[in-house]
Amino acid sequence: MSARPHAGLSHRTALLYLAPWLVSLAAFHLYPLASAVHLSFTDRNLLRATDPRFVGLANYRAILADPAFARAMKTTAVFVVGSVPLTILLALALALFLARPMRARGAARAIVFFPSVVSFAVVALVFKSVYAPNGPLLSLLATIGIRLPSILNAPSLALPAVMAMDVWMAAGYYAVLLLAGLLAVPADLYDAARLDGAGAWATLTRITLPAIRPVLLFALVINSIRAFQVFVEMYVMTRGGPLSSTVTAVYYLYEEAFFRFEMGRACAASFILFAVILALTLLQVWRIGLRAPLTESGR
Amino acid sequence: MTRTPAAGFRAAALVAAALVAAAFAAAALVAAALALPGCAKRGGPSEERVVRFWQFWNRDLIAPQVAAFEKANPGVRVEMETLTWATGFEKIVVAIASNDAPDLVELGSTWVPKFAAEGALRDITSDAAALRAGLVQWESGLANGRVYAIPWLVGTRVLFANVELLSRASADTAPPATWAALLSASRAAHDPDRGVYGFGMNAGERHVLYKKFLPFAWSNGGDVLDPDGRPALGSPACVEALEYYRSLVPYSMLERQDQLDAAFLEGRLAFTISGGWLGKKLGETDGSFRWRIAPIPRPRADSPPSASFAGAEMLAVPSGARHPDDAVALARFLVDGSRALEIARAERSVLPAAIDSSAREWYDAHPEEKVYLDVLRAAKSPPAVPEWVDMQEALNASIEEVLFGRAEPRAALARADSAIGAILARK
Repeated sequence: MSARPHAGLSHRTALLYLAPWLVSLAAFHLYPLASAVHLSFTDRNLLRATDPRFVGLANYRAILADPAFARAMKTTAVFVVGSVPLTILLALALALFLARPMRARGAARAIVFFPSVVSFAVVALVFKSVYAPNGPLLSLLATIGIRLPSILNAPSLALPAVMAMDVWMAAGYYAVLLLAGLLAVPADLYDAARLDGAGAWATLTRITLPAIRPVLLFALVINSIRAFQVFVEMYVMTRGGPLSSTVTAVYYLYEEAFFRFEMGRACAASFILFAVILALTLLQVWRIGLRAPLTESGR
Repeated sequence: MTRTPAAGFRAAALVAAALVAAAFAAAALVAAALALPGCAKRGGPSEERVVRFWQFWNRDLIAPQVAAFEKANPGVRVEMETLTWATGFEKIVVAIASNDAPDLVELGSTWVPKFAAEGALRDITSDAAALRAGLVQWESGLANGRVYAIPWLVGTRVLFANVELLSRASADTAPPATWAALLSASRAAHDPDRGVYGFGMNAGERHVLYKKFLPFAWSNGGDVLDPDGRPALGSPACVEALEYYRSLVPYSMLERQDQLDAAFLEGRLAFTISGGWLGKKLGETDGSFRWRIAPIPRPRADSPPSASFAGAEMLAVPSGARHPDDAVALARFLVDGSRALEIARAERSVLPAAIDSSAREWYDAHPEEKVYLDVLRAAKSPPAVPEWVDMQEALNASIEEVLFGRAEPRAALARADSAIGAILARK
């Protein structure tokens, strides 16, 4: 039990410790990333045997001029705006519920977290059958007099249906994250609030939320980034249809690469998406701020 | 007191880290070696030639044929890989892109012109010359008179009719032969409150819709391009076909192919247009209801036989093939009439591209399967041009807009024409 666990480590030793991760980072992340940057400036076609030619910004121009990409970005924005706040609110509600003393707390937390350990593709397949024309959801709706011909094949319902699945899937994960934040809030703050006669709402908005602000920010940022990159759901459930209503940005670039084989353009599209995500992440960090949480200053 | 154990622990951790790093480096080297073409030994003595063959059919069906080929060709070993319909296509594209393509690959006919135009396939004109007369559906395998793929198995679409639902709605249980008959029978059988729909219509799935609509346009005398290669979807024949197709919508279940097939299997669709795979599934779950297949209805009783969609599974040699001659030999071996018929008989969803006397004999003895053969005779394919991959997206979008009530047939098809014109002008 050394008091200073890192005292004896030299830089070289530290590097050695990090080596496995650095090797995999370089091989599986940095190299592909650099290669994608390069490809986005070429006319690389997956089927073409000839060497790709440098085309400058032509790919970026073509993608930005493509109305289908604009539409895909709009669909992605709808997905993000529709699913992220809902996910975070639901996660917060679940976390507040799970933080209360109750019987079988561990089991309750496990159940809430459960959707996060199942593969996205599996969940998407399950929801596909739930939403199927003769599936349980439509049958249930029919018993209360609502008759819908289809869910995933209705232009106005397909995207919300996928979003609902996404919220269901993600809320549990963020609930557990927020729960960890909630449990770190010092109990004496709540005691003091109670003594001062603060109500439940005031306690939530004046103590709990400010205290878990960093966790909240983290959840919001990570969830937004993930939502911007939504793809597997579309790939499994809708393939972009109907009427292209579920073609998101990543689904668009997937089709650009694997149906039109234009890898150069697909790479350009991915960097345009990256720029948008980066800008919005910076905006979120700036708006909510990385200010020190109450727990630190309260010490 | 704390020094010695900590130092010992550090040393142990260092050794462990070094081992992990070494393992990673070794794994990376192995991966690099495997990825480098030519570096990896693909097994066997050096004089043995390994032909890599990727295909989509049941392994148990193809393996004996491949074994027979190996026996007839000493020194050649075939390394067969069975792809899935869900992911196989991407796997082929990635293999070609990473210069690790197999020697022989099965490709759907709609993709062949695009692959050939980009230089991904080998010109096998001289090797295929002897096969030309014996096989059907060559169009997609040809470009500028050169051969890039050999038709192996061919498929078409027919009208599936649920006889139970038909007899409930009317006395006439014969599948409808004309557009008007299909419409009225669909209307009569349509009962959504009971979960029964008249017609199963494809929607929501791009890359599929045109296969279901074009037969109506073709049967009415329309086509995607006119004889001079100009866009012709705006022609009165095509517009009329789409107007008719739209008239089925109120009595239809609009769904994706898998859902339509499932609905028909559950006895909830009176009619749907599908391929032999549905017939196979119906045969496996026989007994629940009577069903029949028939040619796609023609516009009027006096119209010529309707033209269904024809597709082919073709065998092609990628440009990067290491043993192209052996690959072509394997292709010639597989497309042989009796071998292809074996696959067709087992899979039921396809017919052999070699319709020889033994195939004709078999289909004559199996009238329920012969419908496919008859339909195939008059069936058509979309234009065999590399631009079709893009053109079909424009057509699909127009069809879908009409089915969902977002556009009128005439305007939608005019839009498809101008999009297709722009695509063709890019060449």
